[in-house]
Amino acid sequence: MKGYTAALLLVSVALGAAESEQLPVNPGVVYRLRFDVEGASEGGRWIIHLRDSEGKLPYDGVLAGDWQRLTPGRKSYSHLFRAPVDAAKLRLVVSAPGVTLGPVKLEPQPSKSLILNGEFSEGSDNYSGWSEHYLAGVIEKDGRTILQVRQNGYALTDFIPVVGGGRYLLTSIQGAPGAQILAYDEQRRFLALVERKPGASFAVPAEATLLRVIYATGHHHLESWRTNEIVKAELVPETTAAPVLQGKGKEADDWEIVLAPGCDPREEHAARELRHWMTALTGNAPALLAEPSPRKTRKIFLGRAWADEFSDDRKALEGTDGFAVRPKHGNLYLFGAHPRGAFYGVHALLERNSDLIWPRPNVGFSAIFSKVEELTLEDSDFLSCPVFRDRYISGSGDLKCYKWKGRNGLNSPWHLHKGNNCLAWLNGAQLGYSGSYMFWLDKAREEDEKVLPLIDGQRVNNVWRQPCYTYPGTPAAILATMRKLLVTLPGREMEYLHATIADNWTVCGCPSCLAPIPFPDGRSLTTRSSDATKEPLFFSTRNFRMLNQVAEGLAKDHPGLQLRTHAYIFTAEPPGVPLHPAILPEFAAYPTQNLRYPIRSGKAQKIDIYDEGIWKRRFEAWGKVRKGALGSFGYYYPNGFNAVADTAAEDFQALAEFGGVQVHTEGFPGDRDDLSSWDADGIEKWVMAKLMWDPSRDPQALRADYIRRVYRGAETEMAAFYQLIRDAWHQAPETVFVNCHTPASEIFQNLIVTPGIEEKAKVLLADAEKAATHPLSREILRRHRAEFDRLAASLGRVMVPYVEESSNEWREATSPHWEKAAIVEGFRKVDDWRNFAKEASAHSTKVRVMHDRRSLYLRFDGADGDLSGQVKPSVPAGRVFPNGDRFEVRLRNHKGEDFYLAVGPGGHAFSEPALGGDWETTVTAGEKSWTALLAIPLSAVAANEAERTAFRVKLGRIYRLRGEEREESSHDGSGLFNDAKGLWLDFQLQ
Amino acid sequence: MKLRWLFLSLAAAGLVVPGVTRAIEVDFSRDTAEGLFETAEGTVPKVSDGFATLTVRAGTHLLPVVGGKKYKLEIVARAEGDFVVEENDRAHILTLQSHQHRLSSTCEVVFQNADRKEIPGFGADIPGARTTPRLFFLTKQLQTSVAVFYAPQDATGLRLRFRSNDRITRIASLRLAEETEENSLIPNPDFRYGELSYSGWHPQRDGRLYTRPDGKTVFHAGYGGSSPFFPLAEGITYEVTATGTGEKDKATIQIQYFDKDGKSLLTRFLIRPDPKGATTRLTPPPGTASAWIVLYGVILEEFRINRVN
Repeated sequence: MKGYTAALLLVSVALGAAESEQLPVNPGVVYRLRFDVEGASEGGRWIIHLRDSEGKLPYDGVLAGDWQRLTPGRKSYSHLFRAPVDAAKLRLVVSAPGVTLGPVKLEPQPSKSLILNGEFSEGSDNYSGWSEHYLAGVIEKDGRTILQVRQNGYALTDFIPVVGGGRYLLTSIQGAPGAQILAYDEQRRFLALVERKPGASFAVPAEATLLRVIYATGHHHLESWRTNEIVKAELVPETTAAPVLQGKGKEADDWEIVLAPGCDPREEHAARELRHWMTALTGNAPALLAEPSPRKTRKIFLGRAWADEFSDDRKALEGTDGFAVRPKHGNLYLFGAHPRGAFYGVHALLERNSDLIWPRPNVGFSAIFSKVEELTLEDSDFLSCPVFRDRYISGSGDLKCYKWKGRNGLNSPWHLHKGNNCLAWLNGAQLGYSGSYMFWLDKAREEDEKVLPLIDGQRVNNVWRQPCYTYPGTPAAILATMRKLLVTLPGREMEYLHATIADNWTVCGCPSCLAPIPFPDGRSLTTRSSDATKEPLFFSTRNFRMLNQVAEGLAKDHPGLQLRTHAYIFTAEPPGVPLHPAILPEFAAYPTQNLRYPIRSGKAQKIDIYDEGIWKRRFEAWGKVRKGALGSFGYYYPNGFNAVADTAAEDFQALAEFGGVQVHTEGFPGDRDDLSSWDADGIEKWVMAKLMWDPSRDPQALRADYIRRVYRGAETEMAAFYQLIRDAWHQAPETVFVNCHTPASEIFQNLIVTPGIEEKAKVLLADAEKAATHPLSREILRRHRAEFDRLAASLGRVMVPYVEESSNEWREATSPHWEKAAIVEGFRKVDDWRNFAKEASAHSTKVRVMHDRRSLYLRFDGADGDLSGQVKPSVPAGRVFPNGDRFEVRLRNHKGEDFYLAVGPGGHAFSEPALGGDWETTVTAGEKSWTALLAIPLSAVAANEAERTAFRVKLGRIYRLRGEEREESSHDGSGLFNDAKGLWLDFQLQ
Repeated sequence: MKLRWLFLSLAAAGLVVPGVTRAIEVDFSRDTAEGLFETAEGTVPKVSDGFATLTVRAGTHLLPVVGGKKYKLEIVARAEGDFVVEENDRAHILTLQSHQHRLSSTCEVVFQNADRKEIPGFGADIPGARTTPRLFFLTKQLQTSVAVFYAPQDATGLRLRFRSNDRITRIASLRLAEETEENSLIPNPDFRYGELSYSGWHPQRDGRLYTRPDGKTVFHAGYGGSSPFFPLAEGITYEVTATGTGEKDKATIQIQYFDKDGKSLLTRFLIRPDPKGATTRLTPPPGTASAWIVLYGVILEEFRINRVN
């Protein structure tokens, strides 16, 4: 391929820029551009423009890396790059007043490795191949040129074309935590992290056409992970097929997106998301350009750089990450005062102008939409500021969840002690540090034991403890760590620091911490003990007095930074001292607040240390003392189908009334192939995310919107289904308590079974799945049904069928009528002197059960590979306790009367209390199993006929009797005599 | 023999020197039942062939004790019939879960003060707490059942109350003496007395003592099983060792402190057991007179608490 040399060219002294002639290039080719300049001054830069064949300047055709700076006195420069897709013409632009551009030479530069400059041979001031980096530098070390990534930094290779589905090998010499590979589509939109084992080749996702390699740092408590030094990065294909730079498909002729080069990466990310979804909706890809084209297409000018004319909007958005979308001269302007604003604005624009929804993080259905012929974007004149500055959902930290959160308007934090996560940051994450006081004490825990709490006479160095609150060295040490970490993100926003108590009530009991707390007015606060459960006001005051000192020190150096903390357990009690203005307490109404009611209803559960109204009182007290500086720590994640967003709406509104700035819930897990809470209350999670932006929205209207967008074709059924759930949620008696720890089985029982809506709900879900027209709707509904069935099964209900023939057939194990029986299997080991963690039994047992309204019939089949080893009493068969191998049943009737029955392989049978001669048993042996059949007269275990329809049952087995080979197992791994609620099967005789 | 019983009578009359207790030993191969049992407490068992056969209800004379001291009661006995562990390995858990172990024959220790009033056993006044030392007899082997306990501070004497509960139980001998060998404040710290002698260790749910195949007895506590109460004093440092296993990341031992009136002062996390023995130290808060430990998800081999010199 030819190289080109452009002779002296255009000198535009007046504009402070010099440009070369246009030089032809070919897409995908690696070029070396060499040029000379004379008269460069400080601040001069060079930029490469790569236009397409129509003369448009794609955003990706502007190479304007931060490293592309001229050095005064230096003459010659070199830039290695790969021409992007559609590149046709190159022009070099040197912007520096008084500069003269000398010869420009452009030559193809074949490269074995797909990573350009992978050994940094271009020198320590040349980041060719590594345009995007932060806190990283090419340096000389020990005689080599390496790339060093410093704490919280990262470095990305330029985009590398690959063949989708192809295999590649990365040879990388670097420190911890290694290298990660990012896959992109032809629009340079991020697809996924590529899984690979270091040293082994890996497969590129089928839909990927581009890769990048990223190096970052890791957990900062590991010193070697704070710096990552890369010596070499080489990527080669395992096959010889050369990647073909993919064309972009059909280019849209109605819209183009214009993004200013050098914008914040989050605005670039927003632009790529907009482009992707517009392509997905219409099949036509709008161009992403660095300057508006002369075509008659409508432009979407994205980012702050284009918002100069909208001063009122910019003023309204100041201090927020809200957004504005405004039409002007037939074009649209989409911007925020903060880079995240554009990101949220893109998603709002798309939602308003299509049926697109991002319902859940799961990759399989992270977006649902219908294709349209064209996108008119009529609803494009709006401005929106979030009510809460900080909108947090914690739980899973995986990238899919961050993407879901960002798309739905959240800015949940990424904690930097794990290293920077630029992908989460691009998707809206705030960056900062968070930890308990022990985390912030850092080395002081080892170096100064007086910072440690005195507990029962000992200074305890344990991460699960509060510090000594009154030792002056405690706030000093915390502050020292904060100051050290605050400088680890230069040039970027450190949006929060979070310092909080450890999750328990134990506090320092040193004489100083227990001494009375004096107040300026002469009063004092005293405590009778170091029991914080009994003295929350005292210890909350101790806690915040200490934190006030930290905040005061912090505010001197960082006046705008807020110090966040939990107002939780004993610190949930507002302290007896004013808080420093920099402190943002996050109030937690935990654990006795009933999630069915808003906090201000005063309907909490009464326990020994809390009355029903405690959370209402405390919430309102915090609302008064911290007006405009209050946050929350929420627990809106009950297990199962629920309508918790109704409660969240009222609580969020109350928080907003108090001028709250931060809203939160924890407990949203990852959304993967296995069933999770997303499959029960994904709708509630989505509604709550929307309410975090604007809590005045109507949750019912939001649900209706979700139903319309997600359950296409099944809107009627799903509206009816969620109405059933909502009615049950609100109409259940006040005594029905729900919090985040309430077992799913209990919620299902109380809100679905007891109200009698189970069958109707189940039918609605089944009908909905049949009616749904969109394949993703059907998939989500299939999962709803599976989750519904799973929750139903968690009640331990066994529908025991009525089998008329059982009266005569039960004694025959081979009778086909046993096939009509209900089955219980999957026995698990029960702990004895050993802990088995409920692992599956090594000797499987299957129980069948049926009835004929007179007797309950059970058939036990137990695998036994060595029947000769069975343990049996030495006496003849009969009513003798089978002290050895046996099957066991405990049965409890309506009155709570218990019956215990046991049958052994020798025909020995026992009951307590004795059932007399009415109950019968038969045992048989197979080749590697044995079977016991039992007939239990219902009259012997329940006096009244009306009480013979349901029994609590536990099923167990003993394999052998003693020694290591002994195994006790039961239907759920709990002991046969463990009476705890929820461990019984519920036999429902049909 | 008769002199021994004369001593007992003198002791019961309060004529023993305070602070001094001597071992009380009865062997039915040579002693009569009348020397031990009091007719006012029930029916005196018959003795034959070296055994006293329990009657429906029988109780001993008042035996002298010194308040605050640790005692060991050993009863060598065997049970008959099919409700014994050799014939029915569920007899153990069924007995534990029955009210006051009344599915088997039992022996309770009941304390009296100087006013001859019955008083609760050593420990705190909290719901579900069992302060009455109790033994049950569940083996047909002639075995020693052991109860180690503290006499409450104001106790001057105790009676043993036996109930046959419709089981045939034959007692060979009995010994009551101060306990001096365990080297631990907590009774039965290592379950050395076997899986049928609890000495106040109280499992919950389906917890119980198990003797492993290697002969070591361990305490499967169940969820919220507890130790017997033991005396602790404020301001003194104690060393604690907990050896055992349990549910991964869930096995915990908490300590609860009580004042002299049995009122709870404080509950806090103490330690996680370790198979090699985890240790920690503590100094009880002001007002402490006793404590117990509560265990969650723990299979305990040994728990020791001793004063640090």
